[in-house]
Amino acid sequence: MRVWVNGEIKEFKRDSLTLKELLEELGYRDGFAVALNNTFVIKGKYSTTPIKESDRVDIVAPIQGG
Amino acid sequence: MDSWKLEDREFNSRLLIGSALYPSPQIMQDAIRASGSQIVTVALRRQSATNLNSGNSFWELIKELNITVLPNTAGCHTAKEAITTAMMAREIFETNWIKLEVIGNQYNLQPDPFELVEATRVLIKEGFRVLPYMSDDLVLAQKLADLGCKTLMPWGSPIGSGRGLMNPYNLKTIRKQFPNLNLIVDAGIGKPSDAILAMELGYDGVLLNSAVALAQEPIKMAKAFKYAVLAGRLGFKAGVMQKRDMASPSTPTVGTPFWHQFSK
Repeated sequence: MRVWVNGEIKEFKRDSLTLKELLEELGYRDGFAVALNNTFVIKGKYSTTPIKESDRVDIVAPIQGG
Repeated sequence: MDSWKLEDREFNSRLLIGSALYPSPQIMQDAIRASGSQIVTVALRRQSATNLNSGNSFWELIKELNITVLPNTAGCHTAKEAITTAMMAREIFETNWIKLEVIGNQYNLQPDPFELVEATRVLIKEGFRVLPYMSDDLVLAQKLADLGCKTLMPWGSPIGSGRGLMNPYNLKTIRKQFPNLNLIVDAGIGKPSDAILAMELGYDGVLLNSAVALAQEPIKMAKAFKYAVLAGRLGFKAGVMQKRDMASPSTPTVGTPFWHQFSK
């Protein structure tokens, strides 16, 4: 399955994947927040949020801002 | 001490400061400390797992400051993007405060008033304390106030331009029309005298970033702004004298030696 992660295509071997599994496979541990197809997903729902082909996942963290 | 209440918190400093564009992380931290500011703005951007797992040193430096964090939605161009960013910020920064920015024009980074109002409507319903970055438009101010904003942040001039207060008349009008809201001039401040002017207009605070971060000596400039904001506030509170068309001597004239009547 192919998924857009932070604007880049990532290939996953599995056909079904939860958001939690996707984040684990990419190595994310903590200190971030996630939007799926431009909609915020709260931390508590990662394990019950299914990922589909061509979904867009954004993973953000704190940076400098004005 | 001139303490004030912004949203649900008390502060002593009326200077809000950004965390971007400093020559180094250490100068950022030192400059923010030197400014005496108790509120710092931060943002969110995409991060790879590799970067994140090696430690977010920026975020560690901000936490060490132990001051209030005000996340922004910089870079958002629609209400939807801003709402999603605000929700991600609330989770990461554990605050319901949001500096709501929705950009409408890429040339001058002017806020989009229509998207801003829509995002404000949704976020206030979601329990956020929305501090909107807005143009200096009186009607827009009214719409945002009607939605429940307790703080408005009109621009002085475009972000990062350092052009100061382009339209003091508009800023003054918003101040007069909304005596009970917290008003903060956000963006465009270039030099300490711009901050003084904003405070003399009766604004409750000033938010700036580039003016300090891009100064030749950011730490020194941070101190300059600390005192500028204090001076402007004190000046406003003290009440400025009336302007006069004619000169009026400040030294008493009675008893002046060599005095004589001018013929004209």
